[in-house]
Amino acid sequence: MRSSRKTWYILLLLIFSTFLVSCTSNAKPVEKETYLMGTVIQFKVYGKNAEKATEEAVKRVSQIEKKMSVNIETSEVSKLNAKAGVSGEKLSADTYSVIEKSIKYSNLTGGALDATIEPIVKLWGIGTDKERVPSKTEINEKLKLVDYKNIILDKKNSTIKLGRTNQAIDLGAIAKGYTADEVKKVLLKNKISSAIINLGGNVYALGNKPDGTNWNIGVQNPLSTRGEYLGTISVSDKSIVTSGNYERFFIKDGIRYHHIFDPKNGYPAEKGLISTTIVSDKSIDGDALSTSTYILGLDKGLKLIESIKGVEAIFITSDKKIYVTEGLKGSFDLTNKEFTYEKGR
Amino acid sequence: MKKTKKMVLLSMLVAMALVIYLIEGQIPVLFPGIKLGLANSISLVALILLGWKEAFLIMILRTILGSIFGGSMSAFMFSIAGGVLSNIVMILLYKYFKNSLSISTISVCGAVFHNVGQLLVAAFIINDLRIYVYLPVLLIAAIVTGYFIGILASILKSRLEKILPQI
Amino acid sequence: MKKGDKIVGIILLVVVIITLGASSIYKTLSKGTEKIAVIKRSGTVIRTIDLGKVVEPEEFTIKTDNGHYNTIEVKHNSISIISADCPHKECVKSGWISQPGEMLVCLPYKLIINIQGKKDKGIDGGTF
Repeated sequence: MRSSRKTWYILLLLIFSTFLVSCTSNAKPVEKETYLMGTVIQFKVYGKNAEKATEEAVKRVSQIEKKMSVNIETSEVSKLNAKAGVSGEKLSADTYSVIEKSIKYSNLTGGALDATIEPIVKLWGIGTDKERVPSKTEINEKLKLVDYKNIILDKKNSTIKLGRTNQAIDLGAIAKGYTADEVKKVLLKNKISSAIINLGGNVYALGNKPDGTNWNIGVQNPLSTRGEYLGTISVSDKSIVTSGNYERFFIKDGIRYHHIFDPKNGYPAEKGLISTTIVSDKSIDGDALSTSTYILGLDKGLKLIESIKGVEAIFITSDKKIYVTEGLKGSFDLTNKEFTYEKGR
Repeated sequence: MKKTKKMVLLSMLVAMALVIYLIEGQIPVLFPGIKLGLANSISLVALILLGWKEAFLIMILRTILGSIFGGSMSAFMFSIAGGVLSNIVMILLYKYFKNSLSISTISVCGAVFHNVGQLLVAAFIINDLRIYVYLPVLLIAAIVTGYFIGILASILKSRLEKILPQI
Repeated sequence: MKKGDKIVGIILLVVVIITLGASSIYKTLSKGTEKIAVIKRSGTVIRTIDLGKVVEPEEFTIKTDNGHYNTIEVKHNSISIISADCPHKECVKSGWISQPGEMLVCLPYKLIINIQGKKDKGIDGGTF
């Protein structure tokens, strides 16, 4: 009798331990959601070190925000802006590299992306309680201060100076993308191979889902409320960033004024696009390109994307037409029939 | 007892039940609308001193008047269901088992079925099994309040017993 | 104590034990199907509500440190911000949410409301 009892116990122990193992497996992700960079950021991280990795990631986001936010007086960018026309500010590698990259994109897009847009942003005040429609005179006055060519780089000393007084830099069009890439580095350092990073809609899908399949990322319907998607993209290891006229805006006398300003005229860009989505390997590229293509408009935007390898796009026009670049056609699934495809150009 | 005297007595009891009902409505509970059922103590007293018809009548009147004084449709349904079930159980137990059960036990059973009735109505409203998770805590609360009601009823009974024959 | 009291007492005790047991089993089995609404301010949880246990619609108001407010209504299995004094009222326009993964956001007041649980839509994340 005794030996069969023993076998029972051992069997029970085995069953119990398999229970324990499967319960503590990687299947349950660490999901964290917090408020940083002026928006909601969400993490969904799988893996053994998920808890630690997510904590570090949140710290990194906060660190970058403290360096680059134009709304924080003590940030490097704010200090740089305060010395405009006078002297340069020594910057950390993070901030220096982001401003440097933004200049590269300014050159690439013929000035559609321009980090010195801040005086215009401040004038309109969209998203604050001071938002208003400025007069053309006011806009033209501030427009004189918008010129990325006045950003003077001193790589040796990691210092940047703004050439003219009252000029100011706003990295809003590119900072989230940079941050997403940095978060990815933090996750990889912690041996995470499966995660979703979502910084206020700036998404990076790391690796695959734990079951090996692609991540499904919804593309926001620009004409509907937050969380309503018009289609999904199936991806792995890609950044997906959308710029749209619905993210931050106000309506006056029936006209919508959104936050993506055209550096050429100081007004919200109206080139027929209501949303641009960029799928790329690096999120900083996605962020910069989604803003620039929105400002460039459909034709120039498509041309630009097609000239860059490894970057795909979805453009949505105000008459509900969708344009998808070649490389994305297989992985984009349109689910809202209100929008119609226009294959290629 | 003469008819008018009976009517006056009944109205007084209804008024007492109503006051208890309105006051116990202020006590915070699991979800809005349900009650502890303390007003059923009056019905129990009426059951013992006057009879089951009077007890039932008091409960009905108390519930209807209580809802006029405030409370939602669902609060009304909770009270009716709880009141009816509780009264039926107390009436039956008193009729058939009054010698083997103390008043406290009868009132505990009444309170238990009062809460069961309320829970059934809630389950019907939301059509979701999850609400039954409240059953154990409601049962325990019923046992406690039922005991308390039993004591209240005993006190009331002994006081009224002395006064009534003199009226 | 009369003789029937003991019997009733034992019956009640047994019933309570059985319902406690059944209730715990049900809770463990149904884990994941609950609709728990989580309300956060600046990333910190300030309230959680089991929407499945809401019988009667309830309203309550959450205030910010500087006197602003959002008024929230909960019904069985759904939640909504029904009024607020933020400038654009995007949160109010978003209507009702009832599925895990859905979210209500009032950015100016740093308020986030979402429903815990696995999304059954198959979408893992979304752009905005």
